[in-house]
Amino acid sequence: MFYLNNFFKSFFHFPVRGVIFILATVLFVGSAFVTTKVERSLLKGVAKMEKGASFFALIDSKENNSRVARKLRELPGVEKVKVLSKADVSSSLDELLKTLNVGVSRDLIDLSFSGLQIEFQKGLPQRSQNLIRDYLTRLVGADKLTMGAVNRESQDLKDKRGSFAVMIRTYLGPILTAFAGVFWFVLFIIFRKDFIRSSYLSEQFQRRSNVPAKTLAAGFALLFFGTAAAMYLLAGIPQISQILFVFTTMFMILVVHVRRIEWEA
Amino acid sequence: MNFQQSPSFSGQRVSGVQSGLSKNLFRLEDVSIRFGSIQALSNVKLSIESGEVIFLTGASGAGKTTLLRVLSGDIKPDSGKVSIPSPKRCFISKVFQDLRLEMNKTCEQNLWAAYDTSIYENKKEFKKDLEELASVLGFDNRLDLKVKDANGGLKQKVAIARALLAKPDVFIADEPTASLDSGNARRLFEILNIYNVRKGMTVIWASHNKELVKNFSGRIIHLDNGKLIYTGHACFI
Ligand SMILES: Nc1ncnc2c1ncn2[C@@H]1O[C@H](COP(=O)(O)OP(=O)(O)O)[C@@H](O)[C@H]1O
Ligand SMILES: [Mg+2]
Repeated sequence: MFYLNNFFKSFFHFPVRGVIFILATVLFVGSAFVTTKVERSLLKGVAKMEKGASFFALIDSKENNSRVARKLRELPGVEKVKVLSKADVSSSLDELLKTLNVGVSRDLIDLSFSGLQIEFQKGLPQRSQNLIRDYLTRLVGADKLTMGAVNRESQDLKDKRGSFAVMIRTYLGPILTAFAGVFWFVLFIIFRKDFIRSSYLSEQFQRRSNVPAKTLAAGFALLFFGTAAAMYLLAGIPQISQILFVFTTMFMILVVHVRRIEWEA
Repeated sequence: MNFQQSPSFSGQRVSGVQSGLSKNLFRLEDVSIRFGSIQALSNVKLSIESGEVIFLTGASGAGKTTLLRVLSGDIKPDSGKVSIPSPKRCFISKVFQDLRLEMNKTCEQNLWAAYDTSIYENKKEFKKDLEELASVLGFDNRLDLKVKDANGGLKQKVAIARALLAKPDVFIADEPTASLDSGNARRLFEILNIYNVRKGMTVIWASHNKELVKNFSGRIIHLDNGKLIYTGHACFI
């Protein structure tokens, strides 16, 4: 097809230039898709950081704590049971003592207790949490067990997650597209001359009219829809406002070229 | 005129213009154009028929380029009436005074700008015409030369060849012989005559060199200070 050929020929007269321009176009169109992808993977990361409610338990070291842990893990509603090493117990000591709220000396703990950290599944109701704690008491025996209070699911992390997503959606994506757009536009202006010239000459010496607009229509359509299709397969649905912005920018440039052009010496 | 040496033109194209031979292609009535304080054309009245060979003469600044631009539809007059053929019916190709070649490309690459797929069957056919024309104009051995490395005469020949390869109905050339010696200029004139006779191509050629024009047949249009002061045959100048 003549117009597509004209598009690539005029941008690839110097191959490096052509490659740079194509890459810039792909970046510009692609930026509308990347946001959703980045947002999703960042949110996944944040979600991993988020934990359910949990509590500590100190068990008489004569008890087989790994058996206790195994029993607990079988319970529905328990996400994770961590058997604390001596080092863990020590490092968690401050928190343990704080939540235990009892005057036990550190030496004593180190000698006669082993620790467990029990994490509930996210969003587990209070009632179920209490059932699990009761079960543990029955399993070990009240005299051999000390349980800490339940640490609530951290609400602020949830809030952070929400505002983080909002921030990415409102700022990061548009900024990325805007930068890619400016870069792309500057390149287009720089490389435009050769394309205008070859288009002008086609109008002068071939029976054709509106060559620049038709050339841009063919070239942009291929790059836009080609990139969009590839990015859709890789990253899914684009951010609508951004893809509209990219489309409008290209379309406006095309519209500006629907006119008779002059030779630019 | 030596027809044996002339290029054999492939692809006979019957133009709509040829069928109405005596019809006025261009008609200008009292056309005036000003650029600021300069009156480039004043009250020019002129008509050109299909198949004519016209020489537009006049000193530098007389308004030749401006008149050619009016004829090719590039500019509209400030006053007066202009009737020019529609581009669909009648194709005009031009040799611009500033040539308008792509400097970074070779002579041959520049000629390919005229490869019109509605006129030529395929690239081979175009290439054949290209090589013939280059050989007739005497630059077939310099086709691979970059235009920026070419001398003025070669550049002019490339611009002329490009306009002719477009197989126009009307050929408009602004000072096409400015950088050519008289031998080359005469050769070009012969070639244009062949195109005129064989294909009915209308030729409009502007030159400030009156000497050149004297020897040739065809109609003279003489401009002075934007006024058309003579139109008729060369022998009467
Ligand atoms: N675009 C323009 N702007 C201003 N003045 C112009 C322009 N084009 C031509 N002129 C002036 O009009 C006059 C006629 O110019 P031109 O048609 O180029 O003459 P010629 O081709 O016979 O040398 C000149 O004085 C020139 O300076
Ligand atoms: Mg001039």
